[in-house]
Amino acid sequence: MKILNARRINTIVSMIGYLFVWAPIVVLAIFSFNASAYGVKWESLTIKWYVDLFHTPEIMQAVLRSLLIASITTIFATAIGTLAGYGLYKYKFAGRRFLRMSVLLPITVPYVIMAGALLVYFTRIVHIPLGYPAIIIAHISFSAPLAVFVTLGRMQRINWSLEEASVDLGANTLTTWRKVTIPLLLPAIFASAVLIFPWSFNDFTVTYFVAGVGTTTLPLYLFSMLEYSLKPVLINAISLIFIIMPILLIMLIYLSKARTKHGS
Amino acid sequence: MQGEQDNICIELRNLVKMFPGVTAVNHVNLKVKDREVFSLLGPSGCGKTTILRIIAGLETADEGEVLIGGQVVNEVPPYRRDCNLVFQNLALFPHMTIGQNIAYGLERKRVAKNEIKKRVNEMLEFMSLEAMKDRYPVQLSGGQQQRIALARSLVLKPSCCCWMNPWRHWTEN
Repeated sequence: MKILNARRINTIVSMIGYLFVWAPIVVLAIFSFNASAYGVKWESLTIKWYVDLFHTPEIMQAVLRSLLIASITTIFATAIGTLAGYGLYKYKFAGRRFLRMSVLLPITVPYVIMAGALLVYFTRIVHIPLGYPAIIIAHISFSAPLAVFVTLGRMQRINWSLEEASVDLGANTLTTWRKVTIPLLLPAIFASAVLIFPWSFNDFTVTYFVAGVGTTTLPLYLFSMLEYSLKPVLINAISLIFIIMPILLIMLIYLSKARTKHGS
Repeated sequence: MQGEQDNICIELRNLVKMFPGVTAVNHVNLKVKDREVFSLLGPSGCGKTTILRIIAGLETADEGEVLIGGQVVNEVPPYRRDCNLVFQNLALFPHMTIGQNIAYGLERKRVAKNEIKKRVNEMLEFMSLEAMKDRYPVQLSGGQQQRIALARSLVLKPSCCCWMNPWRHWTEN
């Protein structure tokens, strides 16, 4: 009886948790089809905001800019973070423990402080023009530590005799990296990229500080829409598209995996 | 005397290896002849594995010389040594099939593709594991995995094969 009650409580708590996470998204999805421009009170069902969305070149440009920045950030931050994680795990040198701990810093420092620091660094010290270069470097600097942590976590579970076996069987260091190390690190590389892409795509605070003229990303554009636009409901429509896209991607990966498993 | 020297496959001369706070290998001398099965026996932590790792080139000796086929190989990297190791934990590549695992060393030595296929099939037949060619290591039993690890070394036809803890995964069958 006690076990049954405990199970029931567990189910209810889980349901409340799911509701807490998904309720805003469901409301957003429903109200993106609301004819009211302000989206507060339900008027009638419409898809005109989706049509408007694709006929607003500023939004499309902001989306493309964000996708470009997030893609470049993902490639570089994943590569840098993976290599740094590998080095921090495999090689013993003075200050290794300090470095491993300090990698956490960009994640733990409040974004607004990091953004201010980057702005001063770019404008006063290294003189990098605000805009694309500054945004991309800033995004890489706060995203790469994520890849370091994911890589370090993965490396603790890898059997490192595999690298030695590769060398013993005649492969030099480079071939061992290509044929053994990278395939073993692939889950970490993929996980890092999957985490970094939306992190960079979503970033508002740091981008707000270091963006220049003509480099308004989607989060910055949506924020300005919220302040000045007459059609804030457009935000619901675009948000829903970016919620559905990763869900579809995850479902596709899951289905293709299930099919491969079933086939084998 | 010269003839006896020619038949020596592995020779260790005054081999010393120290780790912080411990001398793992202390002035070891040994000779292993061609086709000889030579066993190193001793309690855990006495340096057996370290000796094998030094022979394979995965560890460097602090003192002494390692000779394979009469040549001093102290400075030769492991991937150029004519000696292969069967690891205690087998170290089969989990992302490769059994066939790809056995072919790995032959590919690194740039053996022709037809020859690789032939030698891999011969080795699988020798180990009675022909049906396992397209499976992954995780799909095999411990004993089967050990045979594959041995096959992966023997397919290269090395002068010597060092086998760590050979009976670990062995079954009665």
